[in-house]
Amino acid sequence: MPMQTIAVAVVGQSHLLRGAVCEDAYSIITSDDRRWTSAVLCDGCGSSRHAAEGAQQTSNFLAKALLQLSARLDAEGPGEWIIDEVVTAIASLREDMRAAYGSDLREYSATVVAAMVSEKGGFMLHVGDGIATAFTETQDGHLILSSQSNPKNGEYANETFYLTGSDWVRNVYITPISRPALVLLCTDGAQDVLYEGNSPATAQISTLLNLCLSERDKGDLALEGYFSSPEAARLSNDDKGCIIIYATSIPTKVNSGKLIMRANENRAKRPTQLSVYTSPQLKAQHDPKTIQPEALYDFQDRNIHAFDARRVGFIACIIFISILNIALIGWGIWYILDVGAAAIPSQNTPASASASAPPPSESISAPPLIE
Amino acid sequence: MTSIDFTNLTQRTPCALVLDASGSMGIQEGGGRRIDLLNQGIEAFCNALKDDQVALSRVQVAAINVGGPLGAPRVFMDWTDASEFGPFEMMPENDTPLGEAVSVALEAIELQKTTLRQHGISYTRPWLMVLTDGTPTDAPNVWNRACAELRKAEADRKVEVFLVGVGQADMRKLSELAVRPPLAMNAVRFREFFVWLSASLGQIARSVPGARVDLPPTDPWASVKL
Repeated sequence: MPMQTIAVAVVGQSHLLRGAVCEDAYSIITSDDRRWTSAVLCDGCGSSRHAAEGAQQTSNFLAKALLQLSARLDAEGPGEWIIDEVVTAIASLREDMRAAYGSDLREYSATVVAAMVSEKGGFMLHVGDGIATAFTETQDGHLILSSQSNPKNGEYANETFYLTGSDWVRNVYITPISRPALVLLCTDGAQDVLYEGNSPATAQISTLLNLCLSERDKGDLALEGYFSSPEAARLSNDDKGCIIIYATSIPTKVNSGKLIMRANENRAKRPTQLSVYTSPQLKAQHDPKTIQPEALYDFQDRNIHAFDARRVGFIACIIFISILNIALIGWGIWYILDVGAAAIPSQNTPASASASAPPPSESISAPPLIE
Repeated sequence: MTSIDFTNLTQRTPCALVLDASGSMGIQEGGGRRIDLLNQGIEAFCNALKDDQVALSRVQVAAINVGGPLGAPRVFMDWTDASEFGPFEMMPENDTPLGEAVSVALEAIELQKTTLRQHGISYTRPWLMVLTDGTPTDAPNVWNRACAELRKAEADRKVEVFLVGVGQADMRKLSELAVRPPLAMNAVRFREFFVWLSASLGQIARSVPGARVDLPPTDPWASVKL
């Protein structure tokens, strides 16, 4: 089942006031077989003269470049080769920009938040600020935060990194994704609306998903409406770019308000086979009102560890029982062949006597009771 | 002694002032001694910061003397939040060991970055503001080391440097300190200068990544690209 996408880039109040255009831009491409989605979101640097153009060109170029990795991802799966390919793609982009605009690329600076995903997995690409979060859907209907790529802003609070910087190669981050049900890509403006710092804001994301997924053919409009709202403007006056990539399996109605990522409350029942819920601490954390992304990471780790420990324990038991069986059989054979043979002289004694016979060595040396 | 509210976790904009209090600052100019005009400017700086709520919670100031009764350069006012910052008076005396003062300021800035990081407080690139009216009196090796340190710090984006020459300041010598050229200023405009400084720090304190920061119009600092 292919992943679906909804995307928007809306101009912020601060840009409107100075008559600037939206400097966030995105590009989304799907592979011919529709299994792979390449989504790139860029935020043009406000102090660059051609920020919007730079953001658009960067997103267009990288979306195509990332999609070209689909065949190799299918054949080989993820690996370090992705880093090489991504760095090569960015170098090609910089070369193209240099050919088009001259040697100084700073006027076309843009940050990048991107994802190349299929239902099985993929990776996130990140340069500069903005944020990307991937969620996995569990069998019991939870959407669990599985991986996140946080803003990379360097030392100073009001500065970030760009692909056009001389040190760009040190600021490219790639984060693997496994079996995503939902991937959120946000520029810093959208992050201010949907996150509290770098933690996903439960209520806001739930509301957004409800708006966008309830009528999926109107998702883009709903997303635009959400980020154009006065409430969103209150949280950030910057441009707001956002891409939602989701598996069609997640429900149209996401339970809002009280949950972090519970996709469907009807299906969400306490699982019986996962030992994670037997921990009192995690049981408390499982309360959707209090659960936090950090706890979700904890949840995942413990879940994995619990599973591993159970499997290892089971295998160890099987091996132990097998060794015990082999030892018992070996001892039995030794007893029959060695000791049993030595006890032959007493074979003429009654069965009852044989059963209560003294040890074989004593039988051998025992003098006959009757001459 | 620092005066910083570490419970205030909003981002900070540190600004180190390297202030000339050498004997030449006692010269009469424009209706008063230069040092008196400087002291009035510092008072105006303090008042202007208090008029800006964002600057008040985000700007931090430290001051380093060049000469004056204290003698060797040192951080005579340690890092202080704008909300706690009060005016102080300087007296003119002694030589102009500007290079030594710049080295002290750079060290104080790096120390403050570490302190802020330890308290989980983010910060913008610190500003180093140098005000002098004379010719540096450092030994050549001290001066050359200070120039190398400051230029490296500037190149490594560790600090934003502004050099201001007052009156008969040796602008050629001053230009050796940093890549950004120094600005010559009429001594009688100390007050205007510090009001400008307050407004500029307020703009920086409000800035976000990628945003263009338009500083108040005092050439050649009309716009600083971050």
